[in-house]
Amino acid sequence: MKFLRVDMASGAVKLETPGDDYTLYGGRALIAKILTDEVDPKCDPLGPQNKLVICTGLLAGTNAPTAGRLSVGGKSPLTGTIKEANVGGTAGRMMSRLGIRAIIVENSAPGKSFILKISDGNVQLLPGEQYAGLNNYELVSRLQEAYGAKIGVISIGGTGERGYRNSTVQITNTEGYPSRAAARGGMGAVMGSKGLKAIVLEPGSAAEVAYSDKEKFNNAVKSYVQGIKDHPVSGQALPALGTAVLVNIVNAMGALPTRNFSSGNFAGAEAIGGENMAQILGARGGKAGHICQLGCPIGCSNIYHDENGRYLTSGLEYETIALNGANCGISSLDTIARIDRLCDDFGLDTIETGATIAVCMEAGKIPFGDDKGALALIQEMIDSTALGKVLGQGTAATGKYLGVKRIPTVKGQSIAGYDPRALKGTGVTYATSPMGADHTCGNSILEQNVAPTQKEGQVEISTHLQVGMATFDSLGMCIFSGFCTADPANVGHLLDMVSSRFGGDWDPNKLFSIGINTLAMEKQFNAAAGIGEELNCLPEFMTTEPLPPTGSVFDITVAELNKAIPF
Amino acid sequence: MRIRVKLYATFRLNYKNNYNVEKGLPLALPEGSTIHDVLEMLQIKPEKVSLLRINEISTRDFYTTVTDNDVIDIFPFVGGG
Ligand code: SF4
Repeated sequence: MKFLRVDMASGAVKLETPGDDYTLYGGRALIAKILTDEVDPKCDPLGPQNKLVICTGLLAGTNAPTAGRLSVGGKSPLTGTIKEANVGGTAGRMMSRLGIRAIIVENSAPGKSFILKISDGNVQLLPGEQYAGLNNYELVSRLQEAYGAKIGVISIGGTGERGYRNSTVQITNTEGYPSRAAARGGMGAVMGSKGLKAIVLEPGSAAEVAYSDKEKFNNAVKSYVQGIKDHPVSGQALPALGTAVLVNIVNAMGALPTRNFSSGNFAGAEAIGGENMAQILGARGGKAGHICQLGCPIGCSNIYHDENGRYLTSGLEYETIALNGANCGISSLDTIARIDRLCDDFGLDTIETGATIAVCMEAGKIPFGDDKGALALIQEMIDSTALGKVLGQGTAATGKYLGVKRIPTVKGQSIAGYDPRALKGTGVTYATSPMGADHTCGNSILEQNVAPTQKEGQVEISTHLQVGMATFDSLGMCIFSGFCTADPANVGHLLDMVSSRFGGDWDPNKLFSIGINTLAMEKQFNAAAGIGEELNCLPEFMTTEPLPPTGSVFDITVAELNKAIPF
Repeated sequence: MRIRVKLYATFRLNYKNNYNVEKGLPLALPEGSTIHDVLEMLQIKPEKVSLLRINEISTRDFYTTVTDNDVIDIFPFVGGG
């Protein structure tokens, strides 16, 4: 697997064979390693010194389940920290088939718009002025016209070009829609600052992957897939109802962000929950159990049609629903689906967007529950009005601009779909993750042995989860394929997969040291960037304001929080 | 004694269109019945239950007795996000 280096200043592209010391780095770990080795942590995230790294994980190119995830990273313009945004879709698998582990985009071509086109044995950086200013849906359909329907596309919309700090990098899904987002931390703006509009991946002839024992690998894959299917969440709940299945239970736990994190309980939860969504999908000819990438045995994604049965969006997820629904007081799934479509098209992080709109609602710009007003605010971002430009800088910037006191962010990034007062393990992750508030770094929702509002034990739970998630993000596997590792037999199958691919002796310590080393590198990068442990805290209002209906406050102190991920 | 049971996620799917979202499932039970009896009636194995609420208060005690007009929420394991 090669590294593709692209110098945007000179236009030079170069395929390199990475040194042996890179063999066991993939995905999130590889991003941490490349940034540590090559990028000054103090650099301007939107300047030429930052690098955009797009890479696959350790098991990419194999038939390991969900192993086609893609990591998109760099120094974040939103948080000022190191960032890895993880995404599904087709691009990861296509990159592996083209024999590429990582694309490293260096320097910048300000104000330009280039297309990087990769096919078997051929890489070209092409002028793409005709695509400048297009949003993702039109961009992708024009690229498909030019290069064929089978391409995979990694692209930015208008947000990335304009340097919005809440901008995404979008990836095409199995239907060719740009509906999968490397959403968090403003990686779209980093790509835009380089002058790179899109990466076009042509179908490759499948690069050879070397195995130390291929038969053992295939057997381990079979057993692990069975493990995924036997788990009640990855085998039943997610395929039937998607991640939106969480709405009702998080609501019952009193942790569903409601009206800018002022309650954990939303009266309209049933209307926006996965159970109702399944009915809507069925009635309108949409699809549940949709896979975002080939080789996924779970299929948590969906295709959502509008009232007239026409395609509206795909991959409508829990976080989008929680933040743009309950947290904005909005109880119409159709409105939320429209917001999702606008976000994918324009390139906005749906979590950051929902949190930003709710902050506007708290400021009185529009009332809570105002569907049309919410859509209009997103349109302001698209139209680049004075207010729209502020909103595009994210929840923290918007809150400060509007004089809002209750701003739900950590290290400048908005909290996701679980109020940390009623799900404290996830709260520890928000506070301490090197990524800023990010539930995918360690979500304690499935934890059964410690009550979610209890203070004791949460630091340990979060640490354990953060190591596990960093490991999965480095293997390049979807974190939903990891629920079954609660059963040690499945950890065994995973170890067999890794050892029969790479050789050598693997035990759980060695496997999870991938996550530990990654977290350590990330923390070091952040410290050198000037973001140390003193910023490991939740917004103050969450430590003082009891959250109805549980009445819980976040009472884990900074000193206690700093015991998490002690690497 | 009459109670109502609200089912979520995969537990609800078994009832297809016979499930009223607002009212849940109405059940008639003999006095002294416990949550365990309710689960048995619905053919739900206790180990498949992740969250259980009686009148919006969560409990982990499957041998709590239910009383007339109780509303019981039963959730399977769900995750993701
Ligand atoms: S479980 Fe969902 S997000 Fe993960 S790879 Fe499968 S479809 Fe994509």
